[in-house]
Amino acid sequence: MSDSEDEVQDWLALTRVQDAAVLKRGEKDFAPDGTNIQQSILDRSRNAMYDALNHPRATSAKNLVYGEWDSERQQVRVDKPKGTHFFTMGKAERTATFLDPEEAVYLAQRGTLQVMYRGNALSIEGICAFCMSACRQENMLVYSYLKKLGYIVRRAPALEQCVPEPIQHLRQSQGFWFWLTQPWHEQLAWRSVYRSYSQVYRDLSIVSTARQTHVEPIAAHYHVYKPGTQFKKSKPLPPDFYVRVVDARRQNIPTLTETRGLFASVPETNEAPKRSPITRIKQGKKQVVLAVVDAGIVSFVRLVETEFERLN
Amino acid sequence: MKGSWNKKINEVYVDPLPFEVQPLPTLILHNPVSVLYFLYKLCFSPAPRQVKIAGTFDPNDPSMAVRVTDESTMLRLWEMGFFGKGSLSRSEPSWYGRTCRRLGLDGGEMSLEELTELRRQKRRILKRERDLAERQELHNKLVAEGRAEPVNLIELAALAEEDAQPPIRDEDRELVKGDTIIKLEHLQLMPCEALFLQLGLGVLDISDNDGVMSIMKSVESLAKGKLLTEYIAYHYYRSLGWCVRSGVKFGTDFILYRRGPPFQHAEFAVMAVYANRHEIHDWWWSQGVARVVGSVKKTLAFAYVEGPDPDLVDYSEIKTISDWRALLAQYSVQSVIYSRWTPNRTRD
Repeated sequence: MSDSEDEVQDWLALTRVQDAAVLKRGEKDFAPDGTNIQQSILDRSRNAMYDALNHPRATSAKNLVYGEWDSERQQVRVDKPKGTHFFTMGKAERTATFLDPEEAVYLAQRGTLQVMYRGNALSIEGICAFCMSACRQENMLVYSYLKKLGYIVRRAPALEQCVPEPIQHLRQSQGFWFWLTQPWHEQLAWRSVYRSYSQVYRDLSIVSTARQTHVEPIAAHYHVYKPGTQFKKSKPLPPDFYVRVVDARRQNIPTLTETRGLFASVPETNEAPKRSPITRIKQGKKQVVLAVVDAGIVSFVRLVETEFERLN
Repeated sequence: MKGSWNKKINEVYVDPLPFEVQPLPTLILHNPVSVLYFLYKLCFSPAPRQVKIAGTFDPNDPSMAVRVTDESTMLRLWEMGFFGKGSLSRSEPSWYGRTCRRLGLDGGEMSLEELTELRRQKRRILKRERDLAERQELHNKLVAEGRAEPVNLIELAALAEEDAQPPIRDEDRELVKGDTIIKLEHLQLMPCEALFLQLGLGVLDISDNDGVMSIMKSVESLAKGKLLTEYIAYHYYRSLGWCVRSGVKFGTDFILYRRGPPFQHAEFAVMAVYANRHEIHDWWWSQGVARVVGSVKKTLAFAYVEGPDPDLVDYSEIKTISDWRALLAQYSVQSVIYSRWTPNRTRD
């Protein structure tokens, strides 16, 4: 799966285009070409944008939800949740629904939630000030980024006690005959007659494939579901993505041990194995997503635990 | 064209390694003749003679390359497993054929880099035509608005078309000796390849100034320290049947082909990392590599090599092939794919 944003220009496509209506890469729309037509189109869309931004932002009082900052739980308590957001957000308890800080900030910023503290309505800055003591800024950023794209994002539950797996080295034990006859060998492919290349490859397979070893699991921060998911807060299905947030300036790329820790906290992918070995390798066994945040800019990285299988 | 090309490369590149194997005949159980023939072959087939290749190593050459100069073995290394790089070619040692063709002599079929050049030429022409068409269209718009005079740019450009360069240069005289062209090219093997051919398959003898190099000398010259980490990864993917070549063009240690360059593009780009000593890499490093690899439609994989610290291995103790085998056996490789996730493209 190569991401299509990195796709290389398909030059053949050009030959299929008959007229001069060919696209050129790397040039922005509306690079000034000196024509009047272009200028008028540009003006029109710019004015439309100003009109839209001029409109006062408001939420109808009917839809506004009120919450109270609970300093003890470091959450926002909502007594009367309403609206579709609460299908996928917050945690319902017997008396009320509780929103995590990133959820509260997200809802407040889009004008759905008014947070109160000791009877006073808090400004957006006020809400952020309270929430930032309870949630990393990077996490809030990644949360709202994915929410705005339509994903359903839930805090990952605390890890259950995992039983660390023992070291597994997949090694083929074909060393015996080699050792027995070794004084005569000068190379690793030691037999005098080989019947096939796979036999040669088998004898050369001395460096083993390593798998999951004894590691402390490192939990994902968020479980992320694709926008169309039929989601039930009470009975969440396994998520589509496991996301962990990383501060690019304070953390380096994970070491192998850390990477294994990440994999140890997620289950194996349940997609049907693909037929082609290449796609099977790319699909891998487990995957986690790291959201790398540098000064407010987010870049997502997918890590896939995989194993290169023997070809032929 | 495509079909015959496929047929041709399938005929030329049959063997994945420069190593002779002797397949057994098909066994038909109810046919006694077949059974007897099978048993005869099983018990009495003589060991095939392996073709020995001679390479030279110059310890003072900073490139660390092992050179192969014999023309037939150069070709053999390329055709059987795609080992090495022609010193005057992109990869396959094709300089001689290309030069013969350029000078109008018979040089056989076109090489891969000539095909690439042909494709690029077509692309350049296409780009020029497209550019002209776009400029013409813009000009027409300006004419329609009464801001320019009508001109046919395409016709103007056709008039200014330049002549092609003559294919024969003055220096070419120096290439001719008697009535043949001298063979200037040699094949360069990177340390991993040389070591794999010497100690893995036993088909390469490497000589330095003192004669044929011993196992210990080869290991010390070609697999010390960081080179050992690379070699472990190289050996691992080779032994799984992948065609492994240098990934320097893409900023990685290796690229992996399913079969080899003529068949399809490399699928994976591999970075070998020694896992037990924490090598510090920041996100800017890995993102840079991943970005380049992604833009050429390959998948980046980290090959984490685990085992004894390559800087602390006593290389002078590796005297026999069993020592070498024992060292390799202490290592394992874990592959982890690293790629960019663009959430606005996976929403479904």
